[in-house]
Amino acid sequence: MFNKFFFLVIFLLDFSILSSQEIISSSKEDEPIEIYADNGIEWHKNEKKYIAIGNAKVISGSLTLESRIIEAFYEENSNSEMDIKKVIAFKDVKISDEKIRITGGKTAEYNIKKDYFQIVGNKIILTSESNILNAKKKMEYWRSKNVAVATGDAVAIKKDEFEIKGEKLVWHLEKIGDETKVKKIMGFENVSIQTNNEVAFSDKALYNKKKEICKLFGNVRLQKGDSFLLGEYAEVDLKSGISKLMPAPKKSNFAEDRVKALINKEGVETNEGSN
Amino acid sequence: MISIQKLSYSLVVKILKYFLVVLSLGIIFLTFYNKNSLNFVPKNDNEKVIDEFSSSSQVLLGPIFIGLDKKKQPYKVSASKASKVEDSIEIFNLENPKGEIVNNEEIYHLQGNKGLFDKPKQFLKLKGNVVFSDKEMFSFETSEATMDFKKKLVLGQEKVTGKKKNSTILSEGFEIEQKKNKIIFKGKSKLVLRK
Repeated sequence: MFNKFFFLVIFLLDFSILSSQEIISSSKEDEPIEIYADNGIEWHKNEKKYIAIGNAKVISGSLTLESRIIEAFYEENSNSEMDIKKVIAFKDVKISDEKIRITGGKTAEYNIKKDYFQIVGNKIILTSESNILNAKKKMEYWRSKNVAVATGDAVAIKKDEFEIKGEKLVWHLEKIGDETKVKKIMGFENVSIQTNNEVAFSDKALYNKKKEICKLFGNVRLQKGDSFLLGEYAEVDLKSGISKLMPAPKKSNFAEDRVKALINKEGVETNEGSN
Repeated sequence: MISIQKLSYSLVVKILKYFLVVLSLGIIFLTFYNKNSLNFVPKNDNEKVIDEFSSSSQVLLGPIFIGLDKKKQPYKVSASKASKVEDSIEIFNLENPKGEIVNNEEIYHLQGNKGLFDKPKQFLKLKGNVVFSDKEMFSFETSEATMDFKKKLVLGQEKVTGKKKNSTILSEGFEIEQKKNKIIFKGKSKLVLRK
């Protein structure tokens, strides 16, 4: 119960920060928006929108959105100046923003004020240097906040280090100099983490790049070959490869959430009985 | 003596008669000759046909043509000078033409250096420094455009540059469907919106 509450607090806190940050105006807001098309741009004055047709492209600063057709919706101020509020891309969507690339979207909607993308498709791939995030339903990307949410058989891969799967994965990126690195990953529903020597399963997971530790919550199962450990909470050290299976922190009903293990051939290090 | 007098008199009459016949023939010849000479138009080597807007017979100064389209909405064509292309047909070559069409609450304006206005077909073709605008919101420039008052269409096949407050557009042509209040910028196009 506590675990769920703890995770919910982290999740809500994360998104409340995101939401509040959306209100803060970004410096990128002042950059002009350029719309290109090979087969013309239609201006629908009644609907207050532009439609770019054929190899359509929208560029704003470092951001580029490409697609076959792009619709840009605007609002007019009292001086009849147009302000693009929303951009929708149809078919073969490609987004690039500095070192981030998103491909495979059927449609994408970009809310300019929030600096937020929602990409829909069944094979969406977000890459950031050596990190890859896949989704089979939807990808959301808070551009200025460096957060991506993958929904639908989501997979986060870091070459030669780990692979995290889940119904929903939340990626936090950070820019250090010219590099863009994954800072934190949160996984929800049927989460699995594969390292070089084992696989861990849980309901939810939280990976922290700084500590190189992945915390697993709810229905945890650590598997190495045919051996496995069961519990409610675990910590997987991705750097050392050591996994610790523990009861849920500060759990009142300790006995009920006792750690169970089935060890076959090679042992798995456990903290059975410890807090 | 009397007979000699009669002879000289008849000779004079005869000569006079022939003279009058020759004179009358001369007058008739000159009459026809002069008539032909009135029809002759001296050819001027320096006069060249510039385009389809040239060659005309009548000239109107500051004409204003006003009409109604199918929806009974007014349109207006004016020019600094107009000349009929042919006597029987109402087609005019225009200098500094201006077209104006009302669509619902909006008024569109089109102007250029030269124009051709086909009154029966209700279209205005413009060439040279063509500017299309609605005066308050946007305007764009091109080298050639056609305004079809019947179909409520404005077309252009040449490069277009447009402005509207904080936005600019470049394209290879344009088409304005006034019924749908829609402007299509054709071919490779670029739109820039500044904040």
